[in-house]
Amino acid sequence: MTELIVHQHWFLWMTLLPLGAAVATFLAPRQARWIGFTTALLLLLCALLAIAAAIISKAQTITAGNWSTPLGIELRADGLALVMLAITALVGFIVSCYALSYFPARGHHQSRTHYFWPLWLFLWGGCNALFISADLFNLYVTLELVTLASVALIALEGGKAALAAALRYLFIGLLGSLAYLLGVGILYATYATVDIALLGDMLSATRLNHAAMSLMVAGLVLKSALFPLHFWLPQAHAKAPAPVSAVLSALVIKCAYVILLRLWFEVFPALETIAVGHLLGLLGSLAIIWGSLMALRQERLKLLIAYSTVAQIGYLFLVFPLARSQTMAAAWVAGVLMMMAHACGKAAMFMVAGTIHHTAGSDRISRLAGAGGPIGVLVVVFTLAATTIIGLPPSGGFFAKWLFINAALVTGQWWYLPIILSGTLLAGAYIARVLGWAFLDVKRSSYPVIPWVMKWPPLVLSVIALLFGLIAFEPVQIALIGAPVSTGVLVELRP
Amino acid sequence: MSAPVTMAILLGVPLLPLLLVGALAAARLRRLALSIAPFAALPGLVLALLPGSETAVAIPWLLIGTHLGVDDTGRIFLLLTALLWLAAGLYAGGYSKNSPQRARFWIFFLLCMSGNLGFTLALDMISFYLFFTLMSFAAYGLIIHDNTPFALRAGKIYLWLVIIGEVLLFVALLPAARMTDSLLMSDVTKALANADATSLILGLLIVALGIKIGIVPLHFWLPLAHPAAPIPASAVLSGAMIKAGLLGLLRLFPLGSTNLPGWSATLISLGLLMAFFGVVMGLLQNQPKTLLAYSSISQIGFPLMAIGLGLAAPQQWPLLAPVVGFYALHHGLAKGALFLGVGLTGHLNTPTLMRYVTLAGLLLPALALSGAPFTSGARAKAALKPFLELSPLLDESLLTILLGGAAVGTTLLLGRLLFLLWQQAGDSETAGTTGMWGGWSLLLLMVALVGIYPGLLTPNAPTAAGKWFDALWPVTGGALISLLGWYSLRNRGVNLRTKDVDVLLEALLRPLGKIAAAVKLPPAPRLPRGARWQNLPLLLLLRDAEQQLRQLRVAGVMFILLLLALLLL
Amino acid sequence: MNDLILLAILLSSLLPGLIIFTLPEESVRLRTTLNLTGALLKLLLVAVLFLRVAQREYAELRLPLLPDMELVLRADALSLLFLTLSAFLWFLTTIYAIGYLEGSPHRSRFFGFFSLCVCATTGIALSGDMVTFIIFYEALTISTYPLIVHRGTPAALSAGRVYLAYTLSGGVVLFFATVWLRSIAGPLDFTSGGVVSGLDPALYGSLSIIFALLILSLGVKAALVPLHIWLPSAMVAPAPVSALLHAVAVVKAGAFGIIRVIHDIFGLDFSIKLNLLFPLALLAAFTIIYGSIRALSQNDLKRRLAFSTVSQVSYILLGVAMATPLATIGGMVHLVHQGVMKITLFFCAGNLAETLDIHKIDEMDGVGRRMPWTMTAFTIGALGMIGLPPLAGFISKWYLGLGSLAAGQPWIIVVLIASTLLNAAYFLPILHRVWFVEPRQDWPPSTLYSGRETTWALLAPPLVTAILVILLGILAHSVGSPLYWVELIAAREDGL
Repeated sequence: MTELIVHQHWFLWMTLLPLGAAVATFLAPRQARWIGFTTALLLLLCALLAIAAAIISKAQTITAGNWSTPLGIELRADGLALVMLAITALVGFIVSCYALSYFPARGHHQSRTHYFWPLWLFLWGGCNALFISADLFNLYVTLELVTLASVALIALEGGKAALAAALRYLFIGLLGSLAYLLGVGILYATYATVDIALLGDMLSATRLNHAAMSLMVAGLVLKSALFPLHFWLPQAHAKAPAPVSAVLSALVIKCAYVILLRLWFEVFPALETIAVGHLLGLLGSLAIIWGSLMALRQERLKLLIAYSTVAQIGYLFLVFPLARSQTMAAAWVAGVLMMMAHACGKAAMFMVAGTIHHTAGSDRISRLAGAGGPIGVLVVVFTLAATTIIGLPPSGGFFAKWLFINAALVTGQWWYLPIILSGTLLAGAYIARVLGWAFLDVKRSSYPVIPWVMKWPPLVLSVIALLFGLIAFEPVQIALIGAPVSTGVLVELRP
Repeated sequence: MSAPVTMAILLGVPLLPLLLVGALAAARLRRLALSIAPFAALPGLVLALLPGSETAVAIPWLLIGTHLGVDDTGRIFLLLTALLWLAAGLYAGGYSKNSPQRARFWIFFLLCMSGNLGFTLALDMISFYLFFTLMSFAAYGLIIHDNTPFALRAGKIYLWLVIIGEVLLFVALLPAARMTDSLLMSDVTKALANADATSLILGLLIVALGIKIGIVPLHFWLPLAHPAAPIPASAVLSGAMIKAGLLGLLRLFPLGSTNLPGWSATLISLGLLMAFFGVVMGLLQNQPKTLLAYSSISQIGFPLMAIGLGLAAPQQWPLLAPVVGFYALHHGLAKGALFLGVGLTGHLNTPTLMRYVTLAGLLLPALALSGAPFTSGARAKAALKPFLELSPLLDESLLTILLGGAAVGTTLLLGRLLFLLWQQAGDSETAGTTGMWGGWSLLLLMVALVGIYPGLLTPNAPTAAGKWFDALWPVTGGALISLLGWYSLRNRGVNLRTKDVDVLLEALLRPLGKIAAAVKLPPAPRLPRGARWQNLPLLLLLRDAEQQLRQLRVAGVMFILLLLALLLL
Repeated sequence: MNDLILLAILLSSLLPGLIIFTLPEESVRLRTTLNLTGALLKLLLVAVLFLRVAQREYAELRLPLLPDMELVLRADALSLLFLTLSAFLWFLTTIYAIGYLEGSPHRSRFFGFFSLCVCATTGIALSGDMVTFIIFYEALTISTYPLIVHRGTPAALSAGRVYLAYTLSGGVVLFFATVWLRSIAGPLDFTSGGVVSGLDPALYGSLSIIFALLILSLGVKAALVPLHIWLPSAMVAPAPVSALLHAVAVVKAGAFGIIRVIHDIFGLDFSIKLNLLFPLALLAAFTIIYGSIRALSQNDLKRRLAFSTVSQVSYILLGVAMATPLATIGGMVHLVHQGVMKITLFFCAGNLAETLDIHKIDEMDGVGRRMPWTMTAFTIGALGMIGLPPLAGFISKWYLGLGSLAAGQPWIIVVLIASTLLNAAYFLPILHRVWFVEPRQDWPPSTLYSGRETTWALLAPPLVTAILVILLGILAHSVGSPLYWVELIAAREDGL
């Protein structure tokens, strides 16, 4: 049995299954919901088995598909890929449950239902493929898939605004991919390979490589909406249907970020990147403050959440300046932890916003006034998910911040401390605004009926987000499998 | 007696009143409790009269280690306290029959009784402090019982003095307890004999306990509280509770172990001052109870003086201690009898004949106080005389004369009292009950008894009876003067009224109060509300900037800039 | 593996809370059953643990959080002190709250968060290292907020905002200071004698700063002036919440944390060596006086009680800061005594508000005749606060006084005196009003409650705590009393 588990290439299944299912749902739109849901279930199962396999066989990196390099497809499931697959599966499953009743089988929005499932499975497959692909070109291709799928999903809502947002997203997507592809081209021209591992070994600190790095980083920064290039994100995330916005800000952004992480730690370690790191750190800090302040004054729940995403992305980019020789692992783990925690929390929050939009007809924060009955559950979900956004224990965000602060102290970059701490306070402030409305006592004549799949699955997700810190040990251990970093996670300051 | 029995008895004395308080609270038991309450002090009396020398018991689990017991000093005070509370209880039984707040009166009466009885049994500091507190605070309820403005003012002043007394006592006990790792007061007195902080502690103690005793100038609550309180309450207030302060001094001062001439002189001069001050102020009063309060101040001066003498001559103390106790006993009983008598003649609607009988009866305690021959007073004074030569302050003859003068004054004072009582008949409708008469006559009996057979009540009473004409001249002199005074004033009603320190004090405190009221503390800083945050100028600025960033060309420029920056770095 | 009892204690209030969230408003009986079962079960488990710890069998439970970071639950004597207090008072408060909120909306929400709040407090008591402590400390912050704003009025909401603003800021500073300390001192398990004493003297400077940060951030919950603003404004919460806030959970969490930091992280000797404690003593003394003075001028009963809490909690800190055995005993025992006394007072205030709609002190004329039992309890609590024997407050004060002499800082006695006088000045007028002033007559008659002055659920808890106030004083020296236990702690852990 264990043999069976260990020697399966689950991650291959996890890439092929959704793509196949996407085609199936496209062909049989009537059964789309059930096919989709089953696929989600299976994917979750695969993810669990993959984790199990990794744990059982203290797995080193598993590579697959020995087609002829350089142009062949090189797949590889290291720890980072595994955890990303798993978190994607989790969020994806919950979102699929939610979507079951968000896109009802019949009703005047039927077409949306029909298009949603194929696109969503397509996106899912793209993400999974991206996480496990081991060379820069595959990364580019998969990133394109993801981008296109997301554009279509954003447009799904219909209407002028949504269309505009979608187009804008398409535009930046293309621009970003282009820049990235340019960088890949340069590298391929010099070293005649795009394999990450090989490049990592061969690369030397030349001006050209630096240029390539700059191009790729710039493109990915644009795609992951780091300040000041976040202009497209709030619109896109706010205009999209709730499950889509959940996926977009939980997963899609992370795709670009994962690539960045791989580049930084596996391809370009040879380069002199401290200055670039500082630049990214600066932008990240600005993003934290800016996003939080913008979130503070939003009237619409979805926009508020979107801006808080902008702020959270800022934290992710603190990894680059903070990852010095002795704090390498600390920063890297912090980044991964942050990604996972934020994925769970943000997805749950967006689903709550969606439900409120769904039932109350608008996602104005004031619609939360006098939240009781079923709405009360939503408020609970929101609060629990918010803990990881604010960075309160025992959420994952808390420990991520712990590692960030630790790294900042050890590397003596004290100027990040006020940023991180004030970011926490600002997050607390804008969450408190929402809660304030929720607890305002207003007599309601009647409470809307909320289908249970729109209540309980998000609750599960938010509970996971809340308790992530307590269960983070295993995920971090797995993520460290074949990780490019090798120092201790908690570093101590020596005078 | 075996230890548990002793413990049960010793605890039972202060506990019985408390249990009765509990019973009063329960509606079902109230009637029963009310019928028992007057006799709540009986166990104390029994314990006091019980033959057998010192009994003491340690109760480690109680508080932080409690020691209760009866020693020679405590026994006589216990006797006095129990007798007075019994008489007062009997009187109160009739008094409270038709008062609106009957239950409330009894609750405080019993609480106070428990405190006072327990106080005489306490041998360690904590329980000493505990019973002292209980007694003092419960008395507040008795003083303001009538809710008249006068009573409320008296109560307020009393309460503040009590609290200050409490705090000072606390501060005095702390270092004492620190010096000796035991809480036993006997150990403390030993340690106090030769400690560096002695004078500080003694000073604190004198002030803290002096408030109870009414040491001038801390006396001013007495003439307010005693008249304000109901008759039985004022009887115990000035009969028993003042003595509690005295007992405190006896328990905590290093008597008989060290020679403190300085403190001795202080106490003696304080005693003399009180003796005369009380007389003078008393003569100016025209309220019988106020007058009696001042007379208490003057009378308590003598035992205080005795303590002072004891401080000067430690080796003499064993002989002197019984004198102090006897003085307390004699004055307490007499004063109690006088107060109850005032109630019977002055406050109640008593038939004329009975009034005259009562007035005649009041002559006895009056004479006893002024020290007429063959009374307890004469014995007390005679017992004190031989020790006068110990005084470090004035020489014996002078002291003797002074004491005589004080006796004359006392006689005058009591003469005036009888004169006042003669004049004013009771205004109320209610007649005295058997309980009231019983309580009063019990005290009369005791006064007589202490005068004639002192040994009967207290084994170690002074037996030295002085020459009777020594005792005679002050009384006759005083009596003659007061008769003359009465004769000269019989036609125009005298209306002497006076003010005491309290008025002065209030005059001093009023501006302070004004200042305190004037000083306004700054209001707590308020946080900006969440709703307001959105309109902070900074945020508005950011919003506009965000609008700019939304535009594609701005975004494009930004992208190019970023790219350039990355390339150049 | 019987250390799972620690987990069981946490769950005994966590699970009921989570279940209650899902209950509909109507199912009163089920909710009540859950609440009481949880509370009773917790009491039972705590009792078992108490006996174990009394025999020096400390329970410990470790779960890995991150590589080289653990969640440590440990039960030592000090944690049992706080644990027993919170478990017992929670039981009473639950009964009280059930009676208090009868028929009011959002009860499921209320009791849900109520249980979470207590779970967090338990966690604070049981936490065996700084990380665990912070986890539960912040959990407490969050789970208390819904209780404060429960009424949902604008006043309540703004109070909640103030509360969050203060506690979150405090939490952030605490977080930062802890990470800093962790990054220079390594694992921060609570060990008597501290964990930092072995460090390189070059670090003493930053250690002092960290200490200051820790104390200040914990001082927010412990309501040290000037960080106390949230406490008086939080009194808009329902009475049971105020009771919890002031007596059991929040304020105590702060004080407890400070005790932990001084005794088990920095260690008394080390703190004395760097003389970090004197400033704390000064601050505490100032807080004592300031709180009492502010209390004088409050006409709203609960506000006055709140300011009295501000002053009383600093007794604990003062005792700990004096760093002599006797003073420490006085401070720690006051942790319990203040809790019991203050909860009594708040119960009574709640009864007045709920039964007679009395909130202001000048409405209390003669209320003693309408609600004799409640007011008796109130009187006992108030006299205890003043520190009169034989009540609980006196014991604390006595030991604090002795301790200050032992520490050679007699000025602290002056502070105690001043505080006593001020306490008398703001409590005794109330008592006079209650017992000796003629009552107003327009109160709802007691016939509403079948002859009783109010419902049993409201009456029983204050009576129990009032009796406890007396017993804690009278039986102070008997086995199992808080004083006894605290002396045990002092003897056992600090080797004092």
